[in-house]
Amino acid sequence: MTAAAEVKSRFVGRRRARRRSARSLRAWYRNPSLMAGIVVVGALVLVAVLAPVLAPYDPIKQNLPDALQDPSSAHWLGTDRYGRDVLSRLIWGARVDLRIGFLAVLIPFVIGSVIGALAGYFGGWFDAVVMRVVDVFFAFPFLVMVITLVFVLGAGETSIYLAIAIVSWVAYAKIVRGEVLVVKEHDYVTGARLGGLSDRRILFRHITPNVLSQAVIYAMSDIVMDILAIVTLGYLGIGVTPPTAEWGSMILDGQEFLTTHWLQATIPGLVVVVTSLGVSWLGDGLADLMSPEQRR
Amino acid sequence: MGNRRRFGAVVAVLSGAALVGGCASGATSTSEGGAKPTRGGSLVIARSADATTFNTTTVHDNFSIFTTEQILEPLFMVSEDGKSVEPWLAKSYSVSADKLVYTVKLRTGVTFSDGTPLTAKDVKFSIDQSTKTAETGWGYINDPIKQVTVVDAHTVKFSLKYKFAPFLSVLSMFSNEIVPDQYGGRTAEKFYQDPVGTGPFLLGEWKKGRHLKLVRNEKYWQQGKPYLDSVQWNVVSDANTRKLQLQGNQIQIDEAPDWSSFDSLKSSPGITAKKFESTQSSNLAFNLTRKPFSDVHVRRAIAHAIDRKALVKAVLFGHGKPANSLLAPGTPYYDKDAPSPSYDLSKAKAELSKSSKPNGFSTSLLVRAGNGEALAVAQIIQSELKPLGIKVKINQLEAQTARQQQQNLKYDMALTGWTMDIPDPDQWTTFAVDPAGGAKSDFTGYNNPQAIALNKQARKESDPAKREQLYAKLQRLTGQDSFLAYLYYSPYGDAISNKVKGFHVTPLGNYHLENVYLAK
Repeated sequence: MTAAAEVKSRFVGRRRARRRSARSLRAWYRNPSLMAGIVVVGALVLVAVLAPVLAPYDPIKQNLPDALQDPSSAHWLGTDRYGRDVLSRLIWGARVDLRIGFLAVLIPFVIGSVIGALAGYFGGWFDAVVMRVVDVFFAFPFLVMVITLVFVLGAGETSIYLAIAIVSWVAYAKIVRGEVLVVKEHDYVTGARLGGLSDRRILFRHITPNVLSQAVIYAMSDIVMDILAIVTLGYLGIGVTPPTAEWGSMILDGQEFLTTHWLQATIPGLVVVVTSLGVSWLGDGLADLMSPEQRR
Repeated sequence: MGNRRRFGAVVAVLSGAALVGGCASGATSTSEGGAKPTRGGSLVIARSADATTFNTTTVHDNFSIFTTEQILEPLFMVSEDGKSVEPWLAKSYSVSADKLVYTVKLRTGVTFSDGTPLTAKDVKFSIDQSTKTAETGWGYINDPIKQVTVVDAHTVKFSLKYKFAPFLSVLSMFSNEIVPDQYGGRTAEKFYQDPVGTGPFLLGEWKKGRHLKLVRNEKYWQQGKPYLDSVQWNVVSDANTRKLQLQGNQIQIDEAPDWSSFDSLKSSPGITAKKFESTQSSNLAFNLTRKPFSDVHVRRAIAHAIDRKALVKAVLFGHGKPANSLLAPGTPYYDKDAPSPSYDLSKAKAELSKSSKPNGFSTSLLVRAGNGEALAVAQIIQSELKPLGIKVKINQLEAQTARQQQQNLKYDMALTGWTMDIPDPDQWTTFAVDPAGGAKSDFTGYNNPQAIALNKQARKESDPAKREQLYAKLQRLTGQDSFLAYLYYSPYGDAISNKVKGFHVTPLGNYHLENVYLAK
């Protein structure tokens, strides 16, 4: 939640909430989806941050004689085929999946918003070109594009960032452009222009802060998509390279033992579901909080 | 000296493990326990991937090979133990005193599935067509053949360029299966879409990627065979699904059960988990054209650092053996005492300290994505090389890309495998140690003149005792050179419904479905 929440708090916090802090606080409490999201995501982030302290074992240290153990007091969730502690891998996996999930949103968020704002504000040929490109990208399903790109770029974290950035900036561009188109007709923008302010100042000081909320809300659902993409890549064996603990590759490792040691594939799968739910709740909550009705 | 025989057998070049399951074969096994075979019924087999083509002159994947073998047949057939060949479409043969001319008499009364009788003309056409694929397929295996001559309707003469001990094995190769003269008037492309052969089955229906069905050839030359009305291969990529289908009797044979659940299958009522002896070996290949793998001490150090027993236990769940030789146990002239680096960490450290990189280095290990067995092996090797200071990055690539990179020697280390296709070590040893064998020495760049000379000598030697000595020397030498770190030998595993009788897989991986029947 780092990226989005920071952006959010900067806007909401500084510009409006200071004036109406009491009302907005109430709005927070009255928003169960936001609270649930904060609790789940907060807990996961805490686990990820504290991984070195929480994990009982080294997540990549193999111990072949102790392979495929059932849950016990020594290994709460058992061990995998390499004798590695499943719980420790799960905890360290949170680190990898959450880090990539949240960080991967940043680049397309920035690039897409800037391009979208420019396209919406200036219009003309630039807008036309950008929108055609956006349409082309939208024609392909997100996961298909990401998987193809990672195949081409080769497995690894860098490839994942790159692939996601290449594919998902278009959504931000489209959202921000649409908002800018509306906002730039508002009186205060006209006023600013008549007042002789430069385009750059109008766009980035006056328009952009007012149109970003939609992009921020979208970024939340995008994080879910990104985490799913990372897990999918890991499951396909082209994600984060082994032996790094990662939920998708844990599912892949455990799949073979579904009938004998079912915990190994189901637990990481369950964690992915819970994480996605948490981030989705957070996104829904933010959407409620930042929607026009709430803001007024 | 015309010795350039290339064996591009890639039956399982890259991570042979992936193909493990797709193998099964049978020789001339007859019904079990003397019970009278029942006629009729349909056998359904589940495999992890589909066949790609029926054209065995160029195909490299076992799924296609073992399927086509039910439709097309060669002159000689590999015996049930996989160690020799016996006449099949041939009735008998004679060899000239100088061992340069083989005269083969054909079995009479054999017809293709369209009713045309098998003649010497068909044989000449088939072998000549196969030889023509030298650049793109298996034609190089026919390199010793100078000329094929039709003597009369049922006699064919093979003149050789040089004395060649395993020549009958060459005629048993699937690429030399017999097709009708001039493809029965069709183009090769059209013919292989629906081939006409002398085999027990012919094509029924092929829904690519889903299932492939063969139906009985009513004109099959073995009286009363095949017993089955049809045999169908379903493509089921997930091992757990295959297992459930077998338990639910939707399929009768699972060609590739996971080793992890192999033993638990035994406790399922009505199902037998069967292991067949194989010629399958798995190796870690080094790219000798790259540093530091050009240094034999580095290679030996790595070979010494791998705990093969642990590998067999963790990856094969005990269903296999640590490998010690270039050859696999099912291969003729395999030397079970052939010395090669075995697990010994202190020796590994000693070798590394003698090398150009005494403190270790960073490198990569090429693995085919989506291959669980290979990935498991890679992760264990990665972990085992850590104490030597060797940092391994596992490079998982899509199958086609991975194969290309390996064949173009664009890798550091890679996981490879091999399954024999003919019952003679020459097919593999030439491929593996002779850079002129068409594969840059199993795509490692290994080039030891001594090994090349030994291999050539062994190939031309016709006295089995002397050949054994030569191959023992070759196994010793290649073990010392460690251009491959031998990992393990694994059997073929099949999970079979108890209703299926007469199913046998030869060490080369193929099976004779004309002998199979379903008990009531």
